[in-house]
Amino acid sequence: MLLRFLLRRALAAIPVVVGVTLITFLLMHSAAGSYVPGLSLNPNLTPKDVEQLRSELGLDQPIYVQYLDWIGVAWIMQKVGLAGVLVGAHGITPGLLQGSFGHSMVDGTAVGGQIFERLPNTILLTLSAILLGVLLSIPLGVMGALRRGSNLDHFFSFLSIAGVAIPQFWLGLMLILIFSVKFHDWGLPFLPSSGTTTPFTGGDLLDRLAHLVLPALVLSFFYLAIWSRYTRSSMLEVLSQDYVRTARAKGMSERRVTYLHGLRNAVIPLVTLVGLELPGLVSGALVVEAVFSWPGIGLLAFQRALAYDYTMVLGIVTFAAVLVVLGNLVSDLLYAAVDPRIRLQ
Amino acid sequence: MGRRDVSENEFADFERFLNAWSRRDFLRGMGGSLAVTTFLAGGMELLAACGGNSGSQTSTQNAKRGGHVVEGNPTDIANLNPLYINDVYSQTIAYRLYDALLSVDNQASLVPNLATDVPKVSSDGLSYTFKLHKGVQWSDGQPLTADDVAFTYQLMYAPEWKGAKARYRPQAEQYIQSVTAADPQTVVIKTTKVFAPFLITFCTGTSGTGGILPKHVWEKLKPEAMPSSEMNNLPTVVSGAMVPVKWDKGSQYVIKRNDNWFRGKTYIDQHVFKVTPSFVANANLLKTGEIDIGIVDNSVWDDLANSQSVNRVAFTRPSYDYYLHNLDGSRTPKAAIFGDSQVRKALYTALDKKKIADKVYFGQATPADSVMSSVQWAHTTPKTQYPYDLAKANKMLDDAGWKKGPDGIRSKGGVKMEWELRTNAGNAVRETLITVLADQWKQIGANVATKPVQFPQLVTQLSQTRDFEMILLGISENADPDLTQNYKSTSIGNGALNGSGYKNPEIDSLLDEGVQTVDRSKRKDVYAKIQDILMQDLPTPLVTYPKGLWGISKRVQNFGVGPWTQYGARPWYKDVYVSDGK
Repeated sequence: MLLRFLLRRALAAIPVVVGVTLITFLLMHSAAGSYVPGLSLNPNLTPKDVEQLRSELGLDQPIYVQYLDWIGVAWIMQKVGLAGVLVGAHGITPGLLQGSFGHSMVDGTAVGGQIFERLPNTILLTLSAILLGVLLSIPLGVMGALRRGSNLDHFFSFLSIAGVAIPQFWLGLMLILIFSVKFHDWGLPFLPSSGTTTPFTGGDLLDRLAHLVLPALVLSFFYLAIWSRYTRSSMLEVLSQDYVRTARAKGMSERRVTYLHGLRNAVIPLVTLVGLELPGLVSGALVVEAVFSWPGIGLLAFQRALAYDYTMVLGIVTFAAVLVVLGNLVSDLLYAAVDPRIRLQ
Repeated sequence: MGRRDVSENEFADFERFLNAWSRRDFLRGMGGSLAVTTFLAGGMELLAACGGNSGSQTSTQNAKRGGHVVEGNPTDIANLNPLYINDVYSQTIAYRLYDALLSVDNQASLVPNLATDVPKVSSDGLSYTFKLHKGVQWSDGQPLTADDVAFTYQLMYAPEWKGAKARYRPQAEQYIQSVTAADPQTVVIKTTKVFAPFLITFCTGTSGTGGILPKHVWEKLKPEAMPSSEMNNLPTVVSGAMVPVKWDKGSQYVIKRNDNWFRGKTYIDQHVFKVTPSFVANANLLKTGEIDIGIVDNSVWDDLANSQSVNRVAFTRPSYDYYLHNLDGSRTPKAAIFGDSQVRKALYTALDKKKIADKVYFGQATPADSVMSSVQWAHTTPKTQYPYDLAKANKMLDDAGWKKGPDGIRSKGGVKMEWELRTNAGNAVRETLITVLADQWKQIGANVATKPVQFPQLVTQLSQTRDFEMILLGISENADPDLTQNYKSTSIGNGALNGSGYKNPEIDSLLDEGVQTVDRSKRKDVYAKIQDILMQDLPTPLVTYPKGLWGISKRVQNFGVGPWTQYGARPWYKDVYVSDGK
């Protein structure tokens, strides 16, 4: 059953991933400016030089050939002796199918290498934020539900609205201003505001944690806001169910009712919500990464997009697309695991 | 990320000229500066107008050895090989690792580096003879000789190394005849033609290339393997003040003292280049001591003054913001407006440049008074100036026959005085600037629409299609006053910068004379004439000279940054020390 489910999902993912690569590739090609800005602008290059450079980069090939070369199909065709089909193709290299993301147009480094070097940073940040969000939002939601209408409940509601309404960059800047700059001014221990470690001296666990606090807090605030509301309403709904009334009627303690019968059932929707955030583990948290100069995937993608580093952006988008598909699969499996009513089909 | 006018960061080097609109430009945040080629011939002329904290306070009497500095830039490095460098941040690190034959000081004067003296050009203006310091060693102990120098230049011009794809190859092939090692300490460079900007372009690493590579390391590589070599980012053998330690992509690059450096050991043990969020964030990081050195945004400059632990250093940098009228009637009907020099003068007169500098740049700019920045050694202030005078501007337009209609907009012969002013999107200063210009021109009866455009498109419009009406942009200058790219009639289209289509035979011949005259004082006369004529013709009026704004921790001493030593060339680097020794 599970195997069949996985197989079906894997097959369904193929057109999604292919579609993403094709659309991204075409978008990149139709973006403003020439495919390699600056190339034709160098006043000292003759048209012949430019032609040669374009040829070296493979930009003189028909666009479908460039695409097939990039995804690695051209390489396979060449191997099986079908290269003749690709009119105008030259210099075919291994592509995505062979595990090669190509090289950056800005600095010539391997795209795959850059991605995998940044990935741990992004996962560390997003995973911390998700954990923080889950750990805080459940108690907040439960308390809100149990004391519905109280001042505490109103305060939590206020926090939630704030969490959704406050832009992350603003919150980040405010936290930097208070916990970094002002704390420093006041002579208090302050939190570092950029990067993952202190240059030169830093790098131990404590230093890394200190760098993680502010960005993870900002990122988790948004999760906290949404998830605590879901927990609250889901808890309210569960607590009004017949089986909860039955439990109370048979004299079970309020504590057991809340946590054994209430909470266990109330968190099921939360699992879906958290599962939906799983793809974000790798696609990164652009705004937070940018504000805190966190060397993750999101920041890399953003900077390289501004730099017109086409190959890098293509690589990151494709990579993220594959992982999003995987993330969705994982969250489906998780959902089935926590809720016996859900069956994989 | 940094929403700042970044023209100074963009193209302090020849690279820029070379690759006038480099991709890195965008990475740095906004893009938006063009590069002009420049140069500087021999000579040691001082320019009093230079700012910076160079010179006066340099003392190493109480200097402490040891410790480190952290410098913050919003961009990671790309490539540190002098053959390929394409951005100023890479340049800054690369020239701590690789020495060039010469360097440049804060007055844009050449100073010796690996060479014992700045060479005099031969009488025919075609060859330079360099004497190298004796006993210079690579970081692996091998001697650095004239062979290394000749090899490095051959990588750029010799046909057998074409596969190495050196960025400067087009220039090198154009200007270098040969580079030969006469003996282990003597290098002779022969040029193909008299070219006054030669030394600064090829021998300093400031407005061009010049870092010398170790032959015994690089000759083992096939030319095709060079562009993707890992040594481009983490060189194994270097000659400069520092050697690389590590590169944490996206977060920091660390270099440490080179004990084999021919000038002796630096005071500091380590120099960390940290990637920061933006020039705005740099101010906070300076305050908390997370970085020691960094450029900061105009908007936070005043606030930084409140910090007890940071010194602020401001100086006019080699750059300007300017606007181009399109004078070419075949490209735009608006040339009918701009073709009238009285109109150009009236528009320029209607600009309150002082107020613009104060408001748009937070006071960190000065009104422009010529066609090159005031830190260029060839800069003069032409007699023809256009002080802000609305009444006069209105009268000039009245006299020129532009009559105000019922809607307050002037017209003449059926042509309405209205056009579109573009600049590059994403640059906060320039987007504000075009709005302010449109507003000021509205007061004399011109209806100007503003439009931010993506930088690559804007560049294509300026240098290729030229289908614009008016463009506002920034230029970062090289350490040479040559303006061929901007104003020569052969620089129209084909990627060159004379987008307004300005044609003046007198300027053409003066520009040629400028690059063919090696003597600096004679050159200065030529450029004085050029500035006079261009200030009268006003094809592309300059608005402001923005400042370079640096924050430097008080524990860092002798960091003598100035207009020409912000990036590659830092001849004062060996004297930098930290007072707490940490």
